[in-house]
Amino acid sequence: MTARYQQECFFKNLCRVAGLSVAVVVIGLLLLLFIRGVPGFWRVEIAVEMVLPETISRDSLRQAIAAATLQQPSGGRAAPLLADGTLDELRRRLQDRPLAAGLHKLWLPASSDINRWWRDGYLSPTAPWRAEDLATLKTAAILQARFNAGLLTQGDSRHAETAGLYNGLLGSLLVLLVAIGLTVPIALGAAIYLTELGKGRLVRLCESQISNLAAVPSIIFGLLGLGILLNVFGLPRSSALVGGITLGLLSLPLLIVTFAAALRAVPQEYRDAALALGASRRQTIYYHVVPYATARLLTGLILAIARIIGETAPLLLVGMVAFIGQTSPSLTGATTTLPVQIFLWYDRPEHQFVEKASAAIVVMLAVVLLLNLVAFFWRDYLDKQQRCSQ
Amino acid sequence: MLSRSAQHLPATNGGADIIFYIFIYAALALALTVGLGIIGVLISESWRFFSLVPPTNFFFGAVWNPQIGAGDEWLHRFGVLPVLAGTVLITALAMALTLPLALLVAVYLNFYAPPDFRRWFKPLLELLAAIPTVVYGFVAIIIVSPALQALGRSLGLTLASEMALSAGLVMSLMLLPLLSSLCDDALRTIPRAWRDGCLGLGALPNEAIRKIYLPCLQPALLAAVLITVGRALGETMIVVMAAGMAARLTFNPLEPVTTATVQIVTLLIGDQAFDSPKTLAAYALGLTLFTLSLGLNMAAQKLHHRVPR
Repeated sequence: MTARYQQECFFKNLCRVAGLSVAVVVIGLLLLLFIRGVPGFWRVEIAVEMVLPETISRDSLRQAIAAATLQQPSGGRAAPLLADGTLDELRRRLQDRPLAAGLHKLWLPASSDINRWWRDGYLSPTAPWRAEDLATLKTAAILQARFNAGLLTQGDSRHAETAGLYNGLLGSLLVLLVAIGLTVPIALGAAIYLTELGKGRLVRLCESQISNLAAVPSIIFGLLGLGILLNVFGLPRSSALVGGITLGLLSLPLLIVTFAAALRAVPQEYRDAALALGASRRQTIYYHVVPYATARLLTGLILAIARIIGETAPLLLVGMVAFIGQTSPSLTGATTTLPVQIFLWYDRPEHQFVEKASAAIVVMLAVVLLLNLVAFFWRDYLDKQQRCSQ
Repeated sequence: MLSRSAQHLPATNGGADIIFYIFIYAALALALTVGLGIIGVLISESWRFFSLVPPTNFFFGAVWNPQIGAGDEWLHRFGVLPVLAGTVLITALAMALTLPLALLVAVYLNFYAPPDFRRWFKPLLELLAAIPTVVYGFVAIIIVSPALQALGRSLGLTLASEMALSAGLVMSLMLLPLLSSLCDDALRTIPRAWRDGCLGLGALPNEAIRKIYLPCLQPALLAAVLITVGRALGETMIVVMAAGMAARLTFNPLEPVTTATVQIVTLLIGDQAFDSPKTLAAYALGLTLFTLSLGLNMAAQKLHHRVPR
């Protein structure tokens, strides 16, 4: 008898340990990603005094930067400390918010050597400054870690200090709009057929087709996009249009399944009542079933959006791996998206880009997880409401 | 359908009705065309590949090194076996880790957990399922691989940063929410009467679970495993970032291996000439992958329809 109870106790504890350890791992993983990523939003900047020229051009700014000095009490030349991309960043900043010519105090990004030294305490032997000098600058508050809003407002760059996610975010939005615009009507129509119009064996056949489609690996959709959209229809490579259509087709089966579930959750009484009052089938669906299901349809849509935002693999195949830089994305021009940007950044040889990629992951996770939580709790609320009303 | 419902409609609705039905059926047709499009493109491109490289070289060749050279020698560098070996190794590693864990989690949720546990545990699993795979890839190469390397160093092993084990570990984490929620769904179908019967006859919960419920639910659980394996075979970003590029015929989890998805990405990323066997090989790999995952899913559907007795 006791042996059996010991066994029961052991089994129960095993299950408990499994459940709790999964919970701990999930929370730990998310915390780890956020903790690793958040420092990437800060970068070391240098307080610089420089004379801005009358006319802003590459050459005049280059001269101004070369002549710039560190702020008092140091007063040394600033140029060797600055990041490689400083010139481009300063030019963009002045184009957005022009400053009068003359002497200005500005914060400019420090070089990657200094960023590394700030974080790890390691200064590369080729750096033109000694660690003690940097420490003095740090105590004089000429070197400071400052929040880098450019991460969200600037485009990609070859230099980690000045690289930003703006074009990736915009590209993701464009791709998303194309995908949703294409998929939602198709998915809604197919779901209406599956739940409202079709009967018997044909519906079962369609359902198993769609389930098969949902099981197709996402990379195969990349092959589809490449083989048909690019090579047969000749749509522009790397464009948001092709990426959007590919991801739209990818999310189609998922969307059909969730839409069909949403329509099935509409109580049968609504259909019966509408039909009994003389509404046609179309009127019943159009004026009663679909409006009743709107909230649930929207939760399904939110989940599909979250999935589309995070999808990467098919986009690699339709050529969305080009370096975009500052050119803002367009429907037919070369585009990049947030997850592709993360993939490209982690792969770059410069060490700093890993930190940037971690910060980009924080941005993406914040969006995707928030969307999922909203969908989850909204659906939960709808379920409860429906149970109460019955 | 159209004619039947049109019979009892007011005449004024005819136009709107026709548009409505055209919309519905066009949408359905489009949705079903996607599958045909996939099959069409995979088969036609693979056909072109197999007219250049004999199918026997592809399916039974033990060397994968898709470089085209002079002479006939390169025809023997398109052997899919090492690629499949890597795919199977990583999938097996991931499943070996995730299956016991997912089953235990599902059992805990259904039989042992306090009622509140499910309420906050489910959203947590949902979050895990929502993490984009590129993030998992990042975790594998930036966090898990260095940790495994440090562990290996303390045991006197030198490990490459790309290895099957770290990809498998992280993939098991990715598969966990899917498999545990499928197992959970299966366990939820257990009728009240079974529980009453088992416990009424004096079985302890663990005995009922291990000897009655799980064996009876075998088809549904097997279906869950097949669906999850299908997902693992097709996973791309984790393996692209963490598993490696070199194809070798090995089952050692500490070595870098490659998978079908990794090879598709490496063959097609960047510029490509569309009649070269190198790019067409990606479609042959894609066809293999597609056939595998389709077969798994169809088997899962078959199993799912079998009612437990």
